[in-house]
Amino acid sequence: MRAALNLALLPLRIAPWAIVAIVILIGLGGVLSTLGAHPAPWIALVFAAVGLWFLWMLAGAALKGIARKETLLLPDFPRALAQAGTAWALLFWLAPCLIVAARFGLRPAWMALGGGAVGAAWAVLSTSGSRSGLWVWVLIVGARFVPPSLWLALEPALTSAWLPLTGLLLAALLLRLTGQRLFPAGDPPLPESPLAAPDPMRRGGGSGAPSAPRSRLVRRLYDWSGAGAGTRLKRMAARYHAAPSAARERTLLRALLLPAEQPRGWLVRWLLFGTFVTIYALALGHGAQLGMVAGYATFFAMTGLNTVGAGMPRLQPSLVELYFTLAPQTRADFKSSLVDSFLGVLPGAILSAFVYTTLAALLIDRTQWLQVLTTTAILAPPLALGTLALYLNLPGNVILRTVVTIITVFGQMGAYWTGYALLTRFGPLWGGAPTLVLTWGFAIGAWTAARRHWIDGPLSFDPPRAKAGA
Amino acid sequence: MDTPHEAAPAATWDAACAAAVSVRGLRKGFDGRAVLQDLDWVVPEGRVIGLLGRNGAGKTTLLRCLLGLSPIDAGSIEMLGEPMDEPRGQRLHRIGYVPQSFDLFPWMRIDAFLDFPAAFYRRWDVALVERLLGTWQLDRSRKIAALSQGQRQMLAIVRALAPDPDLLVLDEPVASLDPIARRDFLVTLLPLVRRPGKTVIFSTHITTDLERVDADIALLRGGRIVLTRALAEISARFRRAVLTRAQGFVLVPPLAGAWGARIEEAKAIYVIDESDAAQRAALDQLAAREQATVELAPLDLEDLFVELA
Repeated sequence: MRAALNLALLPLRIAPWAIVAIVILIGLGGVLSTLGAHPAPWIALVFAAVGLWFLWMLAGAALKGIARKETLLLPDFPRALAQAGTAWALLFWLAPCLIVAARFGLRPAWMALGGGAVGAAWAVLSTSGSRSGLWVWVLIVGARFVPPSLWLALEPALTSAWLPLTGLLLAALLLRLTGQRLFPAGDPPLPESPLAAPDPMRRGGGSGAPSAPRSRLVRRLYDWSGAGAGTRLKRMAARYHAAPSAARERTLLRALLLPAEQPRGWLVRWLLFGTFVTIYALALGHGAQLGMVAGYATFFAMTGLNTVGAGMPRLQPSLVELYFTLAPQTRADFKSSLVDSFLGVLPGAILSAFVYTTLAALLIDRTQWLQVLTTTAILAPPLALGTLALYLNLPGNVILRTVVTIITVFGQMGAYWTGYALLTRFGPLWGGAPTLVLTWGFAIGAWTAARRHWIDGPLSFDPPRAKAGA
Repeated sequence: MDTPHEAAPAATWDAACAAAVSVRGLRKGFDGRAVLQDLDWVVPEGRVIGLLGRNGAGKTTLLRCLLGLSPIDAGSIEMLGEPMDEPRGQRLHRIGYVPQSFDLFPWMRIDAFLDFPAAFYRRWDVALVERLLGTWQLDRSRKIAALSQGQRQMLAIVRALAPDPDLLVLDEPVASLDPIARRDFLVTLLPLVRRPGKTVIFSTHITTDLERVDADIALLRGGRIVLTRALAEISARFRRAVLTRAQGFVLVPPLAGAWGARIEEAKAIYVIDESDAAQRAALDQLAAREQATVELAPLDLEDLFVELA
């Protein structure tokens, strides 16, 4: 029983701040629903549903933290997990449904039972390393293409009293998928470089390392890219050995640390991210604001830059080998070599920005492609450098890190959107020149400061300390 | 019971010999817990040193501090004649290092992992690399993450030996190797270390390996190097002294100068330096006082480690 209690309380322990935020959110919904001349209880219902959704996501994150094969060897672990799951279901699924039944009646409660089960199961699945969250886009895009006649045919099913039962069955399926995702059969996948650029086909595993893709086609693409990286490293090593120089050392170091930053790696990334940019652009359709869509496409292009800050702690043990091989004069020289090698991620990010924004322009408004291309040419290089600078010294605290990441992502997209608007309104000269000066000014200043701070920081060769629930 | 080595300064080898490693007053702690305390140590050039100590004694910490991989709290370290405050360029290429757990570049394939350092080193023994990869059946196309712990250790050894280093620092290099690979490794190591000017610091728990390579011994205990002796000297000097009497011993009577003391099966057991006349005399006096008989037995390295560590 104690093991079950520990498991049930685990989500609260790993992120107490999140629990407080969720309680505040649900409380806020309760307060808002009572305000005004006409109280609106549905507001409380919506806030509670969102709060419970986050709570179940937290449960998924906690499960992911303990999802090791060794965990299954713990005595009675499956039973303890089932007991903890039952306690959670009673408190955060059945009890809210009973409240709905008491306040709104039996039919809404029955709908809440089915919808709540799907929501909770989906929340757990989406935090277990699955890309299921992207299904939302597939549903949105799919819904746009459903003919009205089909909607009419579907209407009885959508309003049927049996619909929640389908929800319960779907929830059972999602929970089964979660179990397979958390405790997969077979050997764990081989790791990739901590600094390898991410892509939409894989997410962080329990150790924070990117997990291997499941699709055979995607795996083949990665193998093809990996073979390209290996060949490039060999070529660069031979070149450096034949005639050593600082520039060749930098190139060789980049080939080692950033294996995905080579033509094959870029092509694979463009293919995979391009699919998602296409889905996003199609979802929004021709009426969408192109600047906003291209800004979002730029965000896709810059995601790889985050890996430099986030992947560095996992690279630390491997730095021992680099330390002996590079044989620097001073530690500061060593850190300078490393930090300058990170600039190798910029060409890929800038080229990706061109590819994705052009793709977005062609799908949304073909007449504006040149405008978009000009905006990207002006903004992508400084945005990439500025983003790299902001990600370089990501704080260790998870909340601060999330805040920095969110600010950086919205800053990127906002900067692109603003730049596009300025160029459209004032033209390439009067709109582009100030944008160019401002963004490059920020990027160079941010990079110089971040580089200095990184070099002055302590040099560690130890692996990052494991965190519970991480 | 106090033992003389805790108070006495660490013994050193021939002072005329140049030092490959020289440590003075080294202090290192983690989270307020002292691991190394005012540690002094001199390793002469051209020797094989077996660094012994119990689990958690600080062997890995000491080796990482020597190499500049872990910042020190106080003291000074010299490696190959230069202070280890900074890496100082090519000096690092004269050092080979096999870490305790090899988790370097797990995403890389063996050939790429070896191609990278080979490009930087002036000396890189391709023939040795090929021979060891072949002997240990390490497939060049395999990813490091796919290797067993023992195979990774083999790869680390190949990498460390390839540049023909002047100073080889091995942190439990054979812990995961099977007996055949371990023997292969020692066979490979011996000719390397017998050449003039080559120094090896070899941290291990497998004392028979140290005997096989005829290593000198440095014992780390309580954050200090408490014993530094040549293996032959240890064999010649240290003895286990067993005191026996009819009524047996419940408590171990103190013996001034003893290196270790304990009770086993109602017998008082000491480790003494037989060549130390004062210690020998004190033992005889103790035996007479306690009306006990003395029996002296030779100690092999493992016995000595068990008694002293």
